[in-house]
Amino acid sequence: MTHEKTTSPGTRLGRLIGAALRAAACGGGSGSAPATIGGTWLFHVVESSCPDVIPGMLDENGGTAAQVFVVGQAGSQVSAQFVDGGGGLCSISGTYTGGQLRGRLTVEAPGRTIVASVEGFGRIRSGRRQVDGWLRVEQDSAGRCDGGVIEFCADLDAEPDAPAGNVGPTVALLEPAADACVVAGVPFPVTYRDDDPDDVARTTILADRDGDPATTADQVVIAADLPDGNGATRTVTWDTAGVTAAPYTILAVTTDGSLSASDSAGGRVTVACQVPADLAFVATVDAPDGLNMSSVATFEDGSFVVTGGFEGSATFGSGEAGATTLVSEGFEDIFLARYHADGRLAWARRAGGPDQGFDGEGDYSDDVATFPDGSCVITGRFQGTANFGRGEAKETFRRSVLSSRWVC
Amino acid sequence: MGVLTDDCFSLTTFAYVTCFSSVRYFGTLTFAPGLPEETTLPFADHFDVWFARYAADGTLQWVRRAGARDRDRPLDSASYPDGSFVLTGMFEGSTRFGEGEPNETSFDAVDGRELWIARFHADGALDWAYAGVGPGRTEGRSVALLIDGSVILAVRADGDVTFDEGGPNETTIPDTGNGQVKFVRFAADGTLLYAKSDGGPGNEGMGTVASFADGSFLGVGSTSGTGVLGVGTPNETSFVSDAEGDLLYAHYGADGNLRWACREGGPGDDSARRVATFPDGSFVVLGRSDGGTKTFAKGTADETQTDARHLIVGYARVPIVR
Repeated sequence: MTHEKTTSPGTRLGRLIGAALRAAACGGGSGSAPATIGGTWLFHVVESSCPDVIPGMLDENGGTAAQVFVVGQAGSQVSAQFVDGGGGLCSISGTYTGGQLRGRLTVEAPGRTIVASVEGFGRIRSGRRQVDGWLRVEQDSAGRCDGGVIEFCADLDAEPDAPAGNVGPTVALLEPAADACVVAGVPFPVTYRDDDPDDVARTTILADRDGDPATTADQVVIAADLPDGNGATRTVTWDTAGVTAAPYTILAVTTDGSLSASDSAGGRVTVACQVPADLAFVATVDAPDGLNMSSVATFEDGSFVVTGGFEGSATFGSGEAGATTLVSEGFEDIFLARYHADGRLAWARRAGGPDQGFDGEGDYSDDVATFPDGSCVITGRFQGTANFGRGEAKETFRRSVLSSRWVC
Repeated sequence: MGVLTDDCFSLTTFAYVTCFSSVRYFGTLTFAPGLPEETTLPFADHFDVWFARYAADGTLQWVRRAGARDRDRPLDSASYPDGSFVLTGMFEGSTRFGEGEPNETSFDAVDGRELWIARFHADGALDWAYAGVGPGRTEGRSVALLIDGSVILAVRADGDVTFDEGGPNETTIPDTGNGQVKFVRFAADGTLLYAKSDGGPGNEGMGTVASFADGSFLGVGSTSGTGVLGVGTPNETSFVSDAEGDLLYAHYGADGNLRWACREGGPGDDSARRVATFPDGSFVVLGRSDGGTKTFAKGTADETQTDARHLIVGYARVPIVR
């Protein structure tokens, strides 16, 4: 997970750094007597720069740090846990002891000393009393999480917008932008962007059958309690294994505890859409001037015949050694093609004549049926005159025959 | 008067090597002129239906007609081993089957175009017939015989379709959305076993059906938008077409419950037009596209893409989903 922050003056981080600098002053014992803020604070480790502790980035000084994200309410206890380089479980806990807001965190690591410092944290608002920011726990030169005491404080009076109203979080679902389909069990990515300029909002991504987040019985939680990404585009993966087959609306709901926002994806996702049949072959007919395949009939050996009508030229078995191109004698002619069981063309033939009907139609075949002896019969329509079996012993010329049996 | 126009729509063969053809015609129609078996059908001032049986050598054995005033049209047929057969199609106004026979049956349309289905004995005499009526366009698109001799009828309809309206076996296929898959199963004796519709918010259509040796059947057609089949059943399957329309395959058990469904295709307007099955459970589909790259068996080792407009797609088997 990436937790991007900037260092531009005036930004959130700038304010936090300012708070950190002031923390040094209040931590040095100067200033008025702090008011005690009791209770419990909850710390959530969201990322770390200490590769041996929790995967994360290297800090600017080349050292490593475990970064602790702080979200809490008045009355909460500050605590966090992480695994240090020696494999031990380190814990951080603390209580607020005074100042405008002053925290003292004690890092407990049996057998080790952990050096920790506060880089900054955010504002506290009256009523809700939230704090967000992060702690940096530095490793010693030996790469261990030798710690000690974490102290932090913030000057409530210095918070430029502490008295102002809460700025609500925002969230936008970017993908799927169009309807999509996924076979159950196949991971499906959902891309979103969220932000909360003055808090750390928590975002939950849902798949919802009726599109109403208020009705929970038809929901599947894709990901829950995700800290906002400060406007970064992020992707979560929906594990669709075991998900009931249905179309779902993808929803994102984000909240900072008092204000919330939501969005729905542009496309619905249908789960368990299908299991494809066991494909054996795809054969095609190239007929640039037009072709209509009207019927197919099978033989016991797995071969089959296809019939219909075509105009101009039609190539059956394209790309095969036995590809056959038929050319119509007139406007539209009849075709009959036999294929092997594996979809390769066996042969293709034409019938018909040069005439065109008053309704603009030519010659075509509507249906084909097969006999056990391997022959077949087709039926259809022709205009004026038609020739069947040209060049064969049973060549037939007709003016009004409606059907003709072909020996396949 | 000669034949003004005629179309042969359906063809089936029998075990003892005869063939059968069903056709609509307009005017007067003479079969086997100048031959001993010469037969002339009465004048039809609108389109009527004729059906004929030919011996293996092409000799006409008999020819019969069906229909009344207004237009009639056959669309599909299927044959039994005993030489009897089932026809389906559409009519407008009214239609009549088995004219002059003891069980002559007539139907009147309710609104526009209606469907009919009829079984005939090997000599062409009527066995039983039904009409399916409803608002808008209603057609019997395709028939397939199941292993027990029952008949699956694929229906195209713009709304509800009612069979045996006002009769003791009145049954309605409800229409609950956009285009839906609709089908009816009749026992071999004509008893209506069930009539079903299936589909979700999208537009699904099943144009042709074919049966498998295990008594199940496969319908093919097209789907657009977000489709759902087997709604409310264990095998409910949903899919989203790539754009305009895709090939749709729907496999149902003899009980009419969905076993499996699948769409294939691409961004163009694609559809499955015909299907034929093999005894080993494989099947072949005729498809059509107005362009774009179609993908078949997407996500599998057999995934295949093509830009062709005229498709012949073979499948080894229908998957068993659950």
